[in-house]
Amino acid sequence: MAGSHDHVEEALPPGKSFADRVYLPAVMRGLKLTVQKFFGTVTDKHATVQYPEVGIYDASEAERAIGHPNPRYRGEHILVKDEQGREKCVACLLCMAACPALCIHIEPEPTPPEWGDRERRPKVFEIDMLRCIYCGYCEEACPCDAIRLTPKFYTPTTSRTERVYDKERLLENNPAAQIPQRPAK
Amino acid sequence: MSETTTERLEVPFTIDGASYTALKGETVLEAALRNGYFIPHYCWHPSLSIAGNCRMCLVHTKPGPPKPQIACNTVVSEGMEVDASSEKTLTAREGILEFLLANHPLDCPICDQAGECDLQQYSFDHGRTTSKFSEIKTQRPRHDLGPRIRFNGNRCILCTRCVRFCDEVTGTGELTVVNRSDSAWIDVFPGVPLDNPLSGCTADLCPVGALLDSDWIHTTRVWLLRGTKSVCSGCATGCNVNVEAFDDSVKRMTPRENQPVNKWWMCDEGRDSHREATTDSRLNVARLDGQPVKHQDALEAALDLFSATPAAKIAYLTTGHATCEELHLLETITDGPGGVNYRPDGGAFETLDGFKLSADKNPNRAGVVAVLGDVDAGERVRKGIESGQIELVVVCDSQPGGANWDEGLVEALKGDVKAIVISLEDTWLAQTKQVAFPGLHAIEKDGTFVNQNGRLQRVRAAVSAPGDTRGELDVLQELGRSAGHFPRVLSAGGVFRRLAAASPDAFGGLTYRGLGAVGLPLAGAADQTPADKCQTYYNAGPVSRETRAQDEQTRVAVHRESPLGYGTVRGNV
Ligand code: SF4
Ligand code: SF4
Ligand code: SF4
Ligand code: SF4
Ligand code: FES
Repeated sequence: MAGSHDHVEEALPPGKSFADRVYLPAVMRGLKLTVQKFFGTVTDKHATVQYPEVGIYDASEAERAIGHPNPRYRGEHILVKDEQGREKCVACLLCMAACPALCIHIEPEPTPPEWGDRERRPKVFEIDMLRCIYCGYCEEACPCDAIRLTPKFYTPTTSRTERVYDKERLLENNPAAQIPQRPAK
Repeated sequence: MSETTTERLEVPFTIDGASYTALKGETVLEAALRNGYFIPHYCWHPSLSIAGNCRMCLVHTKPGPPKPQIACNTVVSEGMEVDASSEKTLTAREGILEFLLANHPLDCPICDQAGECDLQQYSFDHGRTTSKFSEIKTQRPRHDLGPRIRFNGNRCILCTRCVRFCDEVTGTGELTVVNRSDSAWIDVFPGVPLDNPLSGCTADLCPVGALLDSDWIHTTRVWLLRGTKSVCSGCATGCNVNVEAFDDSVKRMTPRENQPVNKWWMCDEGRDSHREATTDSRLNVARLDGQPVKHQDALEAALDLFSATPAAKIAYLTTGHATCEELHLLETITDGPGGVNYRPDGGAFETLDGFKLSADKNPNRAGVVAVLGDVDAGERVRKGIESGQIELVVVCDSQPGGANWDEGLVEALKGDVKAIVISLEDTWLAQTKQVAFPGLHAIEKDGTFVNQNGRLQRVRAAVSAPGDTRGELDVLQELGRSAGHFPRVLSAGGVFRRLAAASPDAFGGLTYRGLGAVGLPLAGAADQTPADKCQTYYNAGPVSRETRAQDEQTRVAVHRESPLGYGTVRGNV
């Protein structure tokens, strides 16, 4: 750290030609893009979607939308179901142990005897989405692939309590359902 | 165990080059553990005979054969060089683990032992990450062996600790190994369930998740539990326990080692005793003339009542479940006679190794004698009430189910005499008398009990009390303070200091700090074992339970200081 500033020289903009030094051509190039996109809006070739009136999971819209989330985006959780529609979660509480925000609350219970293939399941499964930092550690910790983070990021609610998701809500938490309804005119 | 006396000759030997001394006749494993050197093991336990069947404790010794030997059954000889961590030994250990895991289901996520499982721990420390075993794993039965023990045959490593416990400690011999080799499992004889009074200890002894306590199975995970070192309130034995709680609710009670009191064991009834605190019949609100009121309103009424009555006209009634501190307060704030109710005797049991489960189901009968001296079951209180000398009775009833007062006394109490009742249960007294306060169960309060052999031991609060329950100590001290007995309300430790000053013969020189985890004998008690002789080098429960508890302490101290703890804030966020 002993005060050498040699690298400052290298950090200057790379262009050394005349055109680069007067800047104007670059400015013109930028303006050209702006104007193009501006007319694109008029001719129905949007660079953006009218979120939230238009959902980004609306297939036709999503294709054109530039900013639609990467499939690996970490949004709200979903509890995965098995082939018979039961939760895959065995209430091992490893996600709860891994969670750095301490926002998962699970109470295990024995499965009904007719299940046969496993011994326990969650009686209560709650995630406090307000405390969650969407780190994905729970997904990583799960030995049963029972919890996943979806790209669902549409999260506003009118009360804090609604942000504590219970088991039923997590099981049905479908990312496609994040298209909000266009408000009636 | 018991013969670790000074007369035994000491034998010098080395483990991995470091020198230690063993007692003559001691095995390598015993000597190593006593000296604080840990050699992994499953089947050996200090209270049980040596079986030598898990092979986990393999070490190389010189002099000795070129192949590894089991440390638990190799007697230390003079100058023996034990090699417990060379490449050769570790390879042997790895091989053993591979065998043990060959048929193991590896269902840790749904296994309630996970987190305090020695198989998990040693696999993590010494095991391989892969297995050469590609055949189909054998399937062994999964069923209940008795009312509280669930057996999962696939997880069993056939260490036979449970079998030897039933043969050598309880002497009931319910368990046996059936079949051979990889289709062997542990079972009971037909029609003879595993239901001895100590059956829960087999689950503690089982180093893996093959035997689990069906009382708390599938309710929580062990790493969430916070243990509080306390004493069981089930009987006069006063077993040392860890009250393990999560989310402010007790999930299980497990024994703590205390040789003169409970060795490594505790009884099944004691394990269930925390349920007395969550019954529906519990009083959880203060009452004024039977109507639920706020604590403060009830307290004001009680103070009025108390100060309007001269001390000589106040008597008290209590039970064998009151702590020494409560007894001392009752005695201090009243001048009238007192009476004590005891629970009737229950079943007694004595193990072959000398652990006595007392028939006396009152945890503090000896404490009543030490603090109050000679008291009867309420005869004098009855006479006082009948002759009109007693106008107010302070009833302090922490007996689960409610005290069963003598008929004559009940008749007398039903009359005009006023009463301030502090009660664990919603008894008729609490419902009909002037003022009633909810009391605390032993898992919720601080205090001391004196066990049947005169050992004074601490009870510690493991969970908080329901609602705005303040408990006996608080209410009694408020009453006493209004009458000028004390300047302020103290903690249980402070009350104990007063008690020690007031009765120096029995309690002189004792402090909470001095009592520590294992308690101290009162003067003249039958059990005079000093605190440093109460615990050996071996804990109750699986080895990794202790390690986990220590890790958890560190972890909590380092970064789990969230005031909200785990989980969501339910309801009101
Ligand atoms: S994403 Fe991270 S913070 Fe959110 S619940 Fe999972 S582990 Fe916890
Ligand atoms: S880690 Fe997976 S299986 Fe375990 S409790 Fe969480 S979601 Fe359920
Ligand atoms: S016995 Fe131990 S290793 Fe086996 S499944 Fe249970 S926790 Fe895992
Ligand atoms: S059930 Fe547990 S204690 Fe009994 S032999 Fe099997 S592993 Fe050992
Ligand atoms: S502990 Fe030595 S063989 Fe099991």
